[in-house]
Amino acid sequence: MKDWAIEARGLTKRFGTGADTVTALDRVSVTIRENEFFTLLGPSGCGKTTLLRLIAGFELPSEGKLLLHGQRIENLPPFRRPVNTVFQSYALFPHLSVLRNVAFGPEMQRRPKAEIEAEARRMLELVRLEGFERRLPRELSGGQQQRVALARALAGRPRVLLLDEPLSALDLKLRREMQIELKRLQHETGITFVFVTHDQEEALTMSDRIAVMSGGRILQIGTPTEIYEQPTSRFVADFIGETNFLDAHCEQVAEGRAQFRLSSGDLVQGLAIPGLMSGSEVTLAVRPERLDLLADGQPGIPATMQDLLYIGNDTVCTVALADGTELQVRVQNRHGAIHASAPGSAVRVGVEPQAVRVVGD
Amino acid sequence: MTDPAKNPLFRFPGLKPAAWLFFVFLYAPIVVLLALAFNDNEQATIWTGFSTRWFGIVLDNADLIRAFNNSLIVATTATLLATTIATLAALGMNRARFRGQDGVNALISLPLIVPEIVTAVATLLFFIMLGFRLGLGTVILAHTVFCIPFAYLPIRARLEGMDPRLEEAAQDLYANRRQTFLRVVLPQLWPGIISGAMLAFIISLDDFVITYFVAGAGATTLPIYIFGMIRIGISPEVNAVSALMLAISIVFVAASWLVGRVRR
Amino acid sequence: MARQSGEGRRRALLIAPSILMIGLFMLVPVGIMAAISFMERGSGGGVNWGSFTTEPYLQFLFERDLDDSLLLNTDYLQIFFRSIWLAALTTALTLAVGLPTALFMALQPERRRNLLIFLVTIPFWTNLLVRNYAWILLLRNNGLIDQVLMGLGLRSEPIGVLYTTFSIAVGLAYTFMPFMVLPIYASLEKLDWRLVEAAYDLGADRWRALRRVVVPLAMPGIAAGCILVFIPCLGAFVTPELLGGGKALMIGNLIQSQFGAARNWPFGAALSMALLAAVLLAMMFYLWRYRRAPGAV
Repeated sequence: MKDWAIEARGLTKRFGTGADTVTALDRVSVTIRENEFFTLLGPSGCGKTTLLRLIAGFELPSEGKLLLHGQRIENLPPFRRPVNTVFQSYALFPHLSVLRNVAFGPEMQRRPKAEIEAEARRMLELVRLEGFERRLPRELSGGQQQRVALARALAGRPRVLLLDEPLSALDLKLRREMQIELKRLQHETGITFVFVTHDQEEALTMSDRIAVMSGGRILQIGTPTEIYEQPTSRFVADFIGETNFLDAHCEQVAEGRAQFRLSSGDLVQGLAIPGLMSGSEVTLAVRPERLDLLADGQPGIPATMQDLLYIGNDTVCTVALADGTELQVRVQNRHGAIHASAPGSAVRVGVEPQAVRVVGD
Repeated sequence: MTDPAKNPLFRFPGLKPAAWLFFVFLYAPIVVLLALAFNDNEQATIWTGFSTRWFGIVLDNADLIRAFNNSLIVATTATLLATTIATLAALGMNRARFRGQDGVNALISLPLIVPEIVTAVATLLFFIMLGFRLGLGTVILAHTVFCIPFAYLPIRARLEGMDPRLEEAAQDLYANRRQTFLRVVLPQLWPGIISGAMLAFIISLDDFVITYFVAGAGATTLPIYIFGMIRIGISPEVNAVSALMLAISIVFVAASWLVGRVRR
Repeated sequence: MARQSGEGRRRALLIAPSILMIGLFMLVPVGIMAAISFMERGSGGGVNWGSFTTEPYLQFLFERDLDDSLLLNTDYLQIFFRSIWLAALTTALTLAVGLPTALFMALQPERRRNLLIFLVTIPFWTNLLVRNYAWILLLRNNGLIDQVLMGLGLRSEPIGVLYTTFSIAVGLAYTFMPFMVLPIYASLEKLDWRLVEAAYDLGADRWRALRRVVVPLAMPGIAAGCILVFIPCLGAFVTPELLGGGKALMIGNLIQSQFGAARNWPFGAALSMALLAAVLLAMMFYLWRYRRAPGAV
């Protein structure tokens, strides 16, 4: 318990009163480790920003406990929490220079004057903005403003840094740069980062662990590989990456393996999950890139090619099973664009058992 | 999500008492005045009983009624003139980018900047120099001049807020300049013109300082008459007249409020 | 090209009436007044047209002795400075009450905000004389405030504040309060409250967030409010006349008296020019500091 940076227990936040009450956060419990890059991932309105604002102290929880390094903080105002935020809008003070923006936190902490100045300059160096001290925020580009916001939040030496979709306003190239930059900063400062995003790719590449949220709840917490490879629910599998969902009937379960009959009548082998019983109706999730497109006559599920979508590195094929169920198969263009199988031709789809996962609803 | 009205973080201690103090300060005199207008007593500030008799006495005062009529004549004429002139100017200045437009704007807002007493004195000297006979005519002229910016600002604001593409659309649909103005621009401009005119009317109706200087004998307006009454001393009649003026103002504000709502 | 000039002529025709009216009946009179301020006083009380003298301006600081030598006389200067002092005092009073009120209003739910703006504007629409008269009722000896204070046993005799500098300041503050509250409110209403959250996040408590973030960002509104109160206060005439009782004169009353009882038009014109200069100075300072187009106020 000692190395938990943040611990939330049964955290609930309701907005409004009476019939207009909206539950933005519903009994959320989560622990975030020290020095961890922890990401809250979910679509807009899932409660991720509300959770962040509760940790920052901008909102008070309706119920539940919140601990920072073992200390109860849920009723402290934001200015008494050793937690700083990088805002989605950056929220840079428009009337203050870059240096004064970064020095704001240390000034409020009433540190010695010389130290404030030195700290602010050090932070600007850290985000590679030396020479911009006297500029006003509106004289900077979006990426530079982003760096100032980072430097400002770090200058207060927080125990935990909260980042509210900080990269959403940047273009793709800059976003990639800043992703690397953020990882570097986290590494150099050793501060716990709690990162909010709706971008699954961003979450997968940057995080140590991810919490996927929906409807005010956390659906799954795990490392990026766990979240991607072993989604426990249909929502998680669907939200992260592309997934084929197949309705199936579980025929038998044995030694961690299970056999399923698809609605098309074909049989596939897959991994069993705890509690799976033979005879039950289940949903299977299979990633398109885990399927193989085979020539007709080879072992696999018979299907008809519907459509080919060339997207450069890959080609995404849509095939239909015997009952019309559509399936996406992603084929790497290792030997150039594939030309096989015009629409309408018969193909086979190869499925390896490790790729087939049972997901709950 | 950040609604400062609902978040306790944005509750600053001391604001509520300050705001209460402010509104008490703002309304206490008005409430007291209204209450005393219904006081039966001859002494203006000692309450003895409820009565409406002072209103009757005031409304029987022929001089006061004449002054009120003068005020209405002046305010109506000055409003019509000032609003017309201001509307033309607003149309002329609309989306204009020409040399000297800052100068024109500054000139139009000149009556707002020059202290009233200076305007009054300068206008008086000018009229005397020209040999004008002071009377309702000079009052109307002076009022028209200082009402122009008050009428101009709302009309201009309304024009600025209008979508220029509507005019283009009208012309695209074969409307000529005149038809475009009458069928598209003017209907949209009306609320601005109305609120400009109302502002001009109330400013003219209430004006004391300039009128005091440029009105000769026989051109007494209501504020001039009331000023004379107050100079003599407080009395139940003044209470009643003041209450009536207050009522007129409130009716006016309510009307302008309604116009504002229609606009939205 | 032809279309361009036609467009220009149309605009010129539309703008002409207002330029003519304000130019002829405002700019020209002020120019003439400037000229009169350098003329001799006529024997009958008018102006000695065509003469030239700086006497009216000298009169502001000196008076002529019997042997025609100049003696320093600070009476008029005192009135001038009293006007500036009263205008500044009124500005400070309205700011002290207006800023928290505007902040309070900006933090209300939208429906209530509109109602409050409405309440702030009603007195502004009420006749100036009526508003000042109401304060006579309250402040005079044995008036309502005295009655309340004596009724409560807090005082045994009238406080006697009517016809003092204080009563003028109260009257002016009352008259111009909306001019302070509304611009400040307008700038606070546009404030991005996330900036205040950011200040909290960085360790600023409420007071410091107000001082370091809210007030600086509301500065354009505060400056506009101050100039909108200060300028008309400087030239106030009605309030010192009614609530000052002719004892505590302001420059407006002094000007009026030169066209009334004193019958000294050149001196009145010179005083008007001095007042105008003071107002324009304040205005220019404001524009220089906050760079906004005239008429935007």
